Amino acid sequence: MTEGGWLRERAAIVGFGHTAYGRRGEFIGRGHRSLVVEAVKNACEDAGISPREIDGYASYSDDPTGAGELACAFGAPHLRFTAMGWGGGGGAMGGAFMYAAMAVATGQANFVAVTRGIIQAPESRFGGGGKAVPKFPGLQTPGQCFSLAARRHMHIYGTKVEHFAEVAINARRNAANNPEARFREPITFEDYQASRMICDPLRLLDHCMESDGGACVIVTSAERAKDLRQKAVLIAGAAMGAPRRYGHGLIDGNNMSAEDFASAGQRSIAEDLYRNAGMGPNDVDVAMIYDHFTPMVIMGLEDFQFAPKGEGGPFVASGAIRREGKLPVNTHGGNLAEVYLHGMTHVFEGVRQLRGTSVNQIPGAEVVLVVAGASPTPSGALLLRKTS
Amino acid sequence: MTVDIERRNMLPSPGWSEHTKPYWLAAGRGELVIPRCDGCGTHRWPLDAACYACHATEFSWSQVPGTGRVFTFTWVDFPPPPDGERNITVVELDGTQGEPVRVLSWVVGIQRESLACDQPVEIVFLTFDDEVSIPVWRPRRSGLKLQMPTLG
Repeated sequence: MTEGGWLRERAAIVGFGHTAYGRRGEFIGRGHRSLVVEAVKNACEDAGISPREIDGYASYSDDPTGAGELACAFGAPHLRFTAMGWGGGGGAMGGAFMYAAMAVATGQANFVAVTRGIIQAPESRFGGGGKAVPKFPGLQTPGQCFSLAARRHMHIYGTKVEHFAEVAINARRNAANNPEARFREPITFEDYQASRMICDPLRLLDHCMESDGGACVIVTSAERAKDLRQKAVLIAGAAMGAPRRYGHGLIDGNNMSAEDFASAGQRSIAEDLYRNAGMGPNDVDVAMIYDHFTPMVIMGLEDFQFAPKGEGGPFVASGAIRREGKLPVNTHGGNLAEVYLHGMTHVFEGVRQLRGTSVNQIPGAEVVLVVAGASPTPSGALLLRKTS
Repeated sequence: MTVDIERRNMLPSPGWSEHTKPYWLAAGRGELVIPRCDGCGTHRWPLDAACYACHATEFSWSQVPGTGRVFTFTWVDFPPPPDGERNITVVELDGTQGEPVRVLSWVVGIQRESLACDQPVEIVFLTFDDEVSIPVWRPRRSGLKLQMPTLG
């Protein structure tokens, strides 16, 4: 067990920005750098600082636009910190924020921009599969990989497709109020059941969308945050990692413990996070849980102790994750309905909730949990707190 | 015979390479083999850089009984497979040392409504070419002779 706690509320989020949200492949002609540069400029505008003041960059998932390029583009006089999180997809997002928070809290950098840009060209779709239909089976798409965990969870705990559907229905319901969301049509359980089966038990509406866009969040020390344009949002805690023998996890690991198999692989992260922040699940007012596939939200709710193991399905069926419920989840619409930018937009919405500017504002929101993707090693999570 | 590398590259995970050749060649002999630690006998799957139990790096491919149970599975629904309904199944093997070993393959000769978690299965080898076969699974039914399907 680590002691944790040192980082608690020493760093803050002071700005965020993004590009337009495009459909998969829409920004191929524009290029990746252009997306990230625009996102950084927008985030700096939000924070009330110049991009020249950014002296640190952190990213993940082998983001192609490097810190050197960005520092050059903005004429930064002094680059002090760069960090890239191992791991593909939206899992290492939590870690990228942890690096940024540590860098500013320790004084190694003043302003760290966490960046991520996605252009899903036909040959680089995260959804996999793609061009050819291979002759022999094996796991070819993330949907297939995660459906293995979904099936196992159904088998052990009696989780139902109705529970998965509720996650999708909730996302669309929230996105209906969000003008930036790409999928704003509300859906019913009948719509869910009518959607195409992709990898039994997962249907089309269990899968998140594919999309293009750039995103940036500015992190600075809690001290420096006091003098900036926006009301700062404190990083109360951060954690990253993976369970024992997790490796590539559900993507092609399959040999972690049986309990971690039927999970989002975030049990140990949750324990570290709560300890680091000095909080527990009862302190969380709103949760942003990475929703690439609906069952992973249910398993994430269990890993982060909102429901006992195996009872995540009944928890969502009770209406708990709706805006009116005891734990509103993904009030922006998430990957399922707003946009898919590897979790950056979940951080955005956490910040909005604590600034009081969400389109689905939860009254009295003081603490937001942001959970990165269930993914190959490492995943991660953040606890954000409103400044008093 | 001449090995058709391109064709063999179409093999399911873990794919055909110098590294995994013993696995496919053993299958061609009708044997399921799993890497086993030369230091402590633990079966190591997936083949990580060292034995998780004793940290030895040396290993040998070692035959296992070829029975197990379905741990979990999915069906390939979209895009539809060209040759009919097909599942992807994780099987937990019998007769291994250490933590449970789970391998990825599929179950042949089974309807969708019949495939279930915890179902007992046994190995069967799909002929691929003169020296390589693909280990797949069928519902365990001791004593029955299965007609071996051949991949075209």
